[in-house]
Amino acid sequence: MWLLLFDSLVPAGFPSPAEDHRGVKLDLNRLLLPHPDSTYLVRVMGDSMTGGESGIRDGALLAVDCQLEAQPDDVVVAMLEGGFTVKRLVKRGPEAWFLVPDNPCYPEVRITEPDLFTVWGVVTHVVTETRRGRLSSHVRVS
Amino acid sequence: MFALVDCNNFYVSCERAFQPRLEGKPVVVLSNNDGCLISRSAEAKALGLRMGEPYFKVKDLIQRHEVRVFSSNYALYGDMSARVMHYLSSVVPEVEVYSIDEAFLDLHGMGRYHGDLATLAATMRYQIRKRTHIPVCIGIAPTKTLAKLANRLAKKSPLLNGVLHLDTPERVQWALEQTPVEDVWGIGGQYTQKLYSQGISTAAQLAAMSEGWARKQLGGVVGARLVRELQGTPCHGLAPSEDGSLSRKSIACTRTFAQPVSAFTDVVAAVAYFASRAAEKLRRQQSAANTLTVFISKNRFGTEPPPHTRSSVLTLPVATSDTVELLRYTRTALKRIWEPGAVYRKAGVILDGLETAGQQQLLLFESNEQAERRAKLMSDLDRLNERFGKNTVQFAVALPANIHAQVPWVGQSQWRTPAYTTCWDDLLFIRA
Repeated sequence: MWLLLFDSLVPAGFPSPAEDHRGVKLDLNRLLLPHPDSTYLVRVMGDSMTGGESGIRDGALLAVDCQLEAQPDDVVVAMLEGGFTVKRLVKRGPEAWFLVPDNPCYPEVRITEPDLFTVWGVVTHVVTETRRGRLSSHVRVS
Repeated sequence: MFALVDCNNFYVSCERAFQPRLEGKPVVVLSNNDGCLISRSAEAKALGLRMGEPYFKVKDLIQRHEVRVFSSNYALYGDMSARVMHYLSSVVPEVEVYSIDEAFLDLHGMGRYHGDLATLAATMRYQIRKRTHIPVCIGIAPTKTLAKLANRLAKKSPLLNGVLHLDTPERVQWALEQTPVEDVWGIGGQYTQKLYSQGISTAAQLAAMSEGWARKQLGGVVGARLVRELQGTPCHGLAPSEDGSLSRKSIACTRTFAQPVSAFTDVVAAVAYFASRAAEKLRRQQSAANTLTVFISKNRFGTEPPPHTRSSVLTLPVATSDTVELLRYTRTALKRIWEPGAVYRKAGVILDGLETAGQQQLLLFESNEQAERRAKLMSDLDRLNERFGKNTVQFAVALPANIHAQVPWVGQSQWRTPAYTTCWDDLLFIRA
């Protein structure tokens, strides 16, 4: 005679109807870092991007994908005069490129000398906290 | 066809990837404990700073020219290297990771899919630059030795845009003529002198020699292969790891001490610390080692005559990754070379002959049960250290006699940049 083995405990009660529908845990890495080899996490300091559509506040965590080609209106991390900055890349007219802050209180920069400017990577995701949590605790003191 | 992809001034380039203001400026990276120069930007090379030069000897020159100095940041370099290697393995089917900044690629049959191999190389070069901001040069040739040679020439001549493909016999001949014999892969200092004394000063002259001559003059079959490779006949295949992982073939943990060390207990503690770290790395890539080398070095700039370094090599009865075993052998190896009264500046442990853990040859009389318990102990140890931080639990022999004192072998790295890519607290800050 053959007996069937049920691979789940059945305590005195009703078996879980969800048993057959168990999925895998959602993995945020797959959303934020689809290209782990070319994506870098960086922190934002300053509020020149605050208030706009990007939702980039002071202290936000950004996922920056460096393999993407920057398109007009992308938010990018740019290298400008030897330093990094995060701004929106805007094209006005055929050859006129600007780095535009989302916060209107800050000035925009026209890219006049393309030699001194490169896109380091394209910002793909923004992580912020609505309540002080782990992200705020990881602030480098220096 | 083989390709050699080599990152330019890799450590300096990693630093520059996160500090664009270093572009165009002289930059150097120092070895562990800020001992010697181990990576130099082109601008630093132009100032006459040489590879391996001790920092204290060139400090004046460095200050005078405002050379930017960094301590080595291996967390960063390791992560950036993995990014480059993973990209390469997504493009070509077989990659041999030759070192942290070099990889051989097997391009056989790739032409069919990608057309011209030089164009493929240019694409890879562009993509690596874009993804990691690290410049690389790529040499392509019928043999590994020629690929290495092509890579060197691609580095030297900016006109080549970082790629040199030796696709015709004429180009191979040209490349051989451009290369001094001492720059051929596998020709060391000893053979250089010997070759020069016989009037052979370029790779082309060496390639013109017969195989029989090479067998006689350059150490038998090794020399014969070298010459055949230069002549365009492949003798070395690609050696990617069997399981396709990018694990290493030898693991070393060596340091220059921040302060000199002479008591036996201190020297033991230092090498035990290195052996423990190496064993950890070994277990992380699921390997076991069958050869252990321990070396200790005295001050090579002191008044004592050479040799300044003594080493001792042990062949282990069974390949192992067990820290307890390795510590026991390390101590034995050290006892053979330690001299009372000597002052040591540097030490290291190197594990070679790596085998896949679990597949090594076993001893006839070993009890299996004990081995299993030990393996469990090691994996518990690694888990604890992973969860609660490096060195939370370690073997007492690897601790200094005075545990409150500054440990000379963990020592100083005054100018280390943050681990931008591997540590939450160290992420790059970007001004908005």
